[in-house]
Amino acid sequence: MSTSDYLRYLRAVKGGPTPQDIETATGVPAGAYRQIEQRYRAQGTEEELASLAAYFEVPAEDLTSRLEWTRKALSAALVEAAEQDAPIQLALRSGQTVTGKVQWSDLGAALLQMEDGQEVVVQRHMVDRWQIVGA
Amino acid sequence: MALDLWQLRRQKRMTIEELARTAGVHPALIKAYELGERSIPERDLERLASALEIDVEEIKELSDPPPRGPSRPAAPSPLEGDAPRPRYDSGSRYDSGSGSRYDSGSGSRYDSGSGSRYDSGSGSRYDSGRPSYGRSDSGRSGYGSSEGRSSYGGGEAGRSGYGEGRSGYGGGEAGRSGYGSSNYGRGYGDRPAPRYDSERPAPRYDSDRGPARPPRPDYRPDRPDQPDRMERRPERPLRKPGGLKRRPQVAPARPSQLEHLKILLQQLDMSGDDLLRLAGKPLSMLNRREASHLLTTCQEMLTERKPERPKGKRQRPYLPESVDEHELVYLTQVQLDESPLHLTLFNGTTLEGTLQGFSPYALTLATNSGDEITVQKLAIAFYQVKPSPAQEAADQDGES
Repeated sequence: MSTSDYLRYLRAVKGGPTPQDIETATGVPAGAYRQIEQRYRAQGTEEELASLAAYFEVPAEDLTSRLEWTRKALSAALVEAAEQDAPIQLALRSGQTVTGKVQWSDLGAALLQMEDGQEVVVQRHMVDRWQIVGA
Repeated sequence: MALDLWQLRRQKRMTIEELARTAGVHPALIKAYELGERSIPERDLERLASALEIDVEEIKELSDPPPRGPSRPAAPSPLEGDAPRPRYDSGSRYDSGSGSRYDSGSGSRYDSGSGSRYDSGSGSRYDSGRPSYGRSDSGRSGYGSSEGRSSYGGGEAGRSGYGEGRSGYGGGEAGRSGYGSSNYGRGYGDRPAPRYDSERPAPRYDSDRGPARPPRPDYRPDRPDQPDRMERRPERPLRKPGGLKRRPQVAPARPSQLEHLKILLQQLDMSGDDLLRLAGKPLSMLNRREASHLLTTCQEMLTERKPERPKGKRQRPYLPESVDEHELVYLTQVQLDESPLHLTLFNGTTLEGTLQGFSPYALTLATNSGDEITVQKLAIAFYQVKPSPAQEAADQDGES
């Protein structure tokens, strides 16, 4: 799960405050939170992420450590797995692990076909880590 | 008793140019002094006196202009015929000395329409060559040209002049001469200079060459110690025997070239024998040019072996323009099929129902109990389409 997805998740857990509410509460510049949550690449300074971590009551490392696992990097992994016709293992934030071959993927979700033939649509914002099986 | 400069100079039988050269004063200045247009400063007085070998007191500081003599018929010009044509030469004499008149009225001319004569006097001519500041068609010299009549700006026959005006340097008509005062608006000859207007035929210049420049005088008053230009020209040093550089031989191959070649040969699965056949010599014997050629060959061979990428294939990860493009299509099909959807939320909770509607942010399900529930996608970890019990039974019947 990228920082942006994780922030969306944290925002949902917290009851769904608006980005403007968060920016007002944390002192993050106007528009910065929306950028962090929606951009595909790593966004946000360490100070901003620390403020957001304090607001969501999570360790700051919980946000900063996700900067490398961006949505763009997940897109690249999904495309690579589809091109290689190799299964990809997605470790979800909820603790489950889903493994299957990529049928399609967009910015919101990915359809995997598991070994038993069943299909599962995984919401990308729940993906914490990933690995192409056999790579 | 002090005398005018022009008188003293004539007594010494010197031309202005000779005096200028000896005294180190510009000829134009001497002309101005002689015409009385300018008084001679003390410095030049000393120089001129020294050049004339007289005392300074013998020269009038402000000379009276030389008297105008009666006009003389123009002598037959040697310019016509086979005689060489004069060129304007600032170093030439405009006054011949004995018998010649500095200003001869209608006869002497600095620049005339009937043959270029600066000063007629006793037949002496201002210039003995053919004038070449312009082109003279009929053999009549001039500072410019117009049908052989010298005129810088004019074209009317017999009216020479440097420009507008009538008399000029030599002064043809009384009261119209101006020795040194002539300028671009004044005549420079003895005859009335034509007006330079559009009604008259324009002066003819050589369209190819343009007006010729008067030759540069070899003598430079500001640098009298300098020898003639031609004399100053340094001789080109002779090339030393054997001075030609030999073309350097091609240097041996760079280590980086050899290293690159080894990598390419490895990728091509080529052995040393293959290399010998390809290059004709071992790697260590290759020069830089041969190594470069061999590198190109190997790279081409490697390119041929690689499978071509399909045209139009994206080189970067595919990012659909629409965020939920595939999911939208998928959910639409699920809704049409009324297949039961099994949701797993982020906290492990599961929900099951038929899809009633959806948006980019939420799904609405109709549960088995008849309730409708809208779930934010943020709360969903994943979902699956599971066959309904009836469909499962039908599938089982099909299998049995």
